[in-house]
Amino acid sequence: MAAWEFLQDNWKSGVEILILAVVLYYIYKYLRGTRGARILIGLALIFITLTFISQLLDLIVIGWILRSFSVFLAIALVVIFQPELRRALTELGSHRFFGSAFESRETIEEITDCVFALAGKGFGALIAIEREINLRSVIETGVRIDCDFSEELTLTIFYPKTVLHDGGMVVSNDRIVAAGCIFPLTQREDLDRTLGLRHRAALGVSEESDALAIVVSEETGQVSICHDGIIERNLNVENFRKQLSRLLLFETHEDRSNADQPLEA
Amino acid sequence: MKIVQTLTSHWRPKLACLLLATGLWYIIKQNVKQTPEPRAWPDPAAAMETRR
Repeated sequence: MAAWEFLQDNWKSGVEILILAVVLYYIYKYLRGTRGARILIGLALIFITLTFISQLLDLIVIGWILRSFSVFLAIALVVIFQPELRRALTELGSHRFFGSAFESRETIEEITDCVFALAGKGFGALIAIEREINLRSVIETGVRIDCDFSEELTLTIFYPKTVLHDGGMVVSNDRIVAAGCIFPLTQREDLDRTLGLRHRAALGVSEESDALAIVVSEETGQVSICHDGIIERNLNVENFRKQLSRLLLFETHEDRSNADQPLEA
Repeated sequence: MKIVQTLTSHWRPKLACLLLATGLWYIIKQNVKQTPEPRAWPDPAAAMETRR
């Protein structure tokens, strides 16, 4: 009976704590592995411990400092988490449910053939496929091309002795827009140490925009796809085609006849 | 069964978040209690009169 009365009196507090805990957990999940996460954990621990002590012992000066500091802390958090906030806002702004297909089925087949031809020849490659958010800032760092997508041209661009082979290539609306572009690098620290700059750049561009980035490893010839800050490594032709269709044409696995093969991420 | 599995997976960060949320809730609650409601503040005109 006493427990029931306690519940009746305090259920709102319980709901509040639960909501707070869920919000904190999702913030932790979102920021896990980033450089900012450690700073946030450190700041939160110091702030909460000091506030708790100052409340408990009624320390007026410490309480005043903490209250004054909290204003600067809000501004500092925006600066520290600028990349993460940008990514979150980008994700909020782009709803795939209402989107249209970005590339044609033929281009997907061409890209698949081209990527595996690059892998077969042992050429490293980095290709970003633009979706709703334009990659103007990335395109401006490279050399504008603007021509139809073709396997021959892509192989030529990524041939190891050409000037443009080191940068990334941007594809938009079935066309090669630019090559030799510099992509932003991811700041994540929980990545496999074997991942090179090319993979980090692919992850970076997929974090900062809704673009799809394809990486062909120069060392191993493995093909990976990065989207929404996620990397799917070591894809075979079939899985690569499926993923590309799913991400660019919004086709589900059930839409295709050969849908029974699991994805190797 | 699935709910239990969801709750118990990654239980350490979840527990840490729950503890942190409880601490945060307690601190905010204390601060809210200490801050007077705007209605409780003295009327500015009356305060000016008192100062004069």
